[in-house]
Amino acid sequence: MLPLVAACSDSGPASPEVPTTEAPSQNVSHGPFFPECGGVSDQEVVEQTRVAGLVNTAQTSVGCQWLSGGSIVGPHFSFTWFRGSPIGRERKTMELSRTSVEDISIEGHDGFMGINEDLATGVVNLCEVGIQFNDDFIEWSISFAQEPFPDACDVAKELTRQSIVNSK
Amino acid sequence: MSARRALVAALAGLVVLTGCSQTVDGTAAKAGSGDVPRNNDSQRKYPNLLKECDVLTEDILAETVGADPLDIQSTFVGAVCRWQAANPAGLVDITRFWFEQGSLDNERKTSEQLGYQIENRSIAGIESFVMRPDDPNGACGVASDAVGVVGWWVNPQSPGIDACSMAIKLMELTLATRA
Repeated sequence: MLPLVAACSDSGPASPEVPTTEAPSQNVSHGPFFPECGGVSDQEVVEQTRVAGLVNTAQTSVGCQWLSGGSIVGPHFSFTWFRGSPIGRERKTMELSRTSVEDISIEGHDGFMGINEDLATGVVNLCEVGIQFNDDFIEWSISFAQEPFPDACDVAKELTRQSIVNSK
Repeated sequence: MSARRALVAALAGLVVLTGCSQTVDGTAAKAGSGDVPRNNDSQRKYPNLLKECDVLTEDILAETVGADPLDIQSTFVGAVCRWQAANPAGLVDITRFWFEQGSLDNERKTSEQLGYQIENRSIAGIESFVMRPDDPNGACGVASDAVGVVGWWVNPQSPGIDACSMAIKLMELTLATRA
């Protein structure tokens, strides 16, 4: 993509750089603390998604990722905690790439829910819920690979609800 | 955002990025439903939309964690990016975060609350810290002061991989690009 960007007369340098978007706001207000993985256990993710053999492959300060057998072949589930990052950009990315994005409110907190339908079957195979907390937001991403599977948005909403309840 | 169908996102981004115009009526709305109100200022408001994960190429990521450049795949994109690469000793997950309204102090405070072992240090002359959770496979993260805060995590799925040196190397490469 970069060479094409560089073709624009008013674009920045062609070489990769630490991104700069808007100047950091003077008064950033962070949200609550979320325990690792949003306080959701591996077992709970297995129960909600009904996928056995999940491995938590990327347990970090910004979230967790569960993959079947630890491999990217198969379903993807993740929790991500963004601290000082505009939820609007994440939503915009989804609006450019998903079947639909709508407003949602969980436990009194507002955000978005993006869904994606399988082009062939029309089944919702991916659902992502983002909920805002001041200048922070959290996101649960539920992406199934092979039917049968539960309602992806029900799973995403329930795990989001649990994470909000677990926040301090 | 899950990287599933990221190609579509990338293509949608291309339309916007190559337009070189402030008015892109109709083009950006190719994907998705017609119900969501769309505006044409996403390129202005979020100039790095869909580019956040491109600071280092996947070839460099793979090489840094000891994987073949062909053995890496993206799983999540946005202000947080995730990849998985295949080191001969085992699979390695890589996470990058960039919070432009975040701060190194807030990241350090969060890491302390998460119970990680923290080591303050300078990387390429930039104030940074290394964080180590109690992980049998040696998972390791690093965060540095940037426009906001930028960070890398390396999570091996098996022991015997020096995740900290890999994460620090990724940060050195990242900080070197902003000269």
